[in-house]
Amino acid sequence: MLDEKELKDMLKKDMDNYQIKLTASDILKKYNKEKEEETVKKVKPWYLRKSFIYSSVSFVLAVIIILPISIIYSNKSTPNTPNSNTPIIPTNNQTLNKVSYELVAGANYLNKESVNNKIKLKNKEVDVSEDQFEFAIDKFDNYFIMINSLSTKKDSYYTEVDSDKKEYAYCLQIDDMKFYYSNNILDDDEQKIDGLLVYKDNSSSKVHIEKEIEDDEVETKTTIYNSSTSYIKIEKEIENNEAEYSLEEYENDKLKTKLSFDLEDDEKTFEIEELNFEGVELNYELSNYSNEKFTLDFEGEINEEDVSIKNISYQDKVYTYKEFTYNSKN
Amino acid sequence: MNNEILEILAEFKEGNLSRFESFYEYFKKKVFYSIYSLTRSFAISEDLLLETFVKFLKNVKDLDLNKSVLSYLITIGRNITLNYLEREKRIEPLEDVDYNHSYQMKIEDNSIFIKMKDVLSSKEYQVVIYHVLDELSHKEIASIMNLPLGSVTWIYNNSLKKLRKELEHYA
Repeated sequence: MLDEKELKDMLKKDMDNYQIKLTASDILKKYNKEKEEETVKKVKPWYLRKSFIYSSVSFVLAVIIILPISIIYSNKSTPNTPNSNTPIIPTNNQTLNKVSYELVAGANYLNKESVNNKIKLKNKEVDVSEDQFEFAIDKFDNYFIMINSLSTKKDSYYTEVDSDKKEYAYCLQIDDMKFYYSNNILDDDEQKIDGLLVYKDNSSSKVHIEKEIEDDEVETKTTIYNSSTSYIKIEKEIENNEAEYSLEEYENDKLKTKLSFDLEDDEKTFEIEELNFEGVELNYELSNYSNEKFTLDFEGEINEEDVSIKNISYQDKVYTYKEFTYNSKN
Repeated sequence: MNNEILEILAEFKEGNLSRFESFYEYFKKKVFYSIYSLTRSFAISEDLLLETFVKFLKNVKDLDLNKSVLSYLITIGRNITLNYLEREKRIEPLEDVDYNHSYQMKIEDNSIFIKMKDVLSSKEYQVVIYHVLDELSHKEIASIMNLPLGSVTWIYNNSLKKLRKELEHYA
């Protein structure tokens, strides 16, 4: 049976047959040459620099074109700037708070390092070596972080800051992320928000949020885009004390993963179901949940085997289990 | 070696590159493997290896010494390689690259690289190279490839399983 060490030895043996010809001196030569070129560029007289010429021309054109327009429209406001005619989302309200949690959950799902409230399960130590158990727990870590974001309750999860982007009128600071947005109220019961979520590393995702109000209950649908065809959708429905979430991940406009879970306030219970694009289902059931400890049951298909792990307990940052069964499908 | 690397990096940050050769010799193969996992071409990988280390030197002043320098180098290499592939629109045709044609290395038909190419998808291939040859943790790979941790574990386990099946009679 091939193990990791054998594979490593085989790969290294093959790779050692190839000698990399590139030397440190080749790299230093190129680096010094490029550095020299950059220095030469930098010392070019200022009046000969393209940027100076372009910016001068742009400035003159801007003065000629923009000045008369701004005089003509001086009494009108720009569409995204808050003013008495543009209704804004009331601050510190439920909607923004819910949106904040969903954005945090989305960022967690996308593995962005922008969120402070991550429960890190770094110190987990498994006392068994089954690949399937490690797989089930690794998967669960991600979900747990995300669920924790959604189930945390704070009165206000965001702070309002001034927007430094012209395209967006408002900005919220949510942990280490900034959410820029402008809103478009359709009517009293429906609202759409288009925004930009900027993560700690300055990467960003476009965001589209739809809010609907039914029977005094606010529901939001949040879409976070990686690209125009790859995105995640988070939906939340609340009925009595039970919140039902679904998260769908799309790649090339095709549904890749669907994740759904319920949260019951009173019972502190979660059920998570993941259906991935290969038709594989994974089911987790959490009970006696708190940040420090909980009990977990897992059922699903891993590496073409039906796996059931019962009574997984998480305590003192260690996962252990009591029952492990699997059946090969082959 | 870790302390020595940190000392060398501190020197780099001060503009002293006298020990660059030791640094390069220590990391070159690992960075090379990671680029190769995307291009699957030795010649192209060498060109991109050059660009990677030049870019690294240009940005070394901003390097955070608390973070893994290998992950940093691999991330630079990965971005440069993906840009190159995008530019050359070679992402799809890569599957058909002729391994033996233009490289100095003579690869035997039963090479593990050839087997892996036949058995694994591009993503699986990258994960295996990152983990087995570059010795990156699943968490580091997840961060570099922008994938959930669980997916990396899943891809890696599946890849090993596929390789086990294929390589049963290899040894």
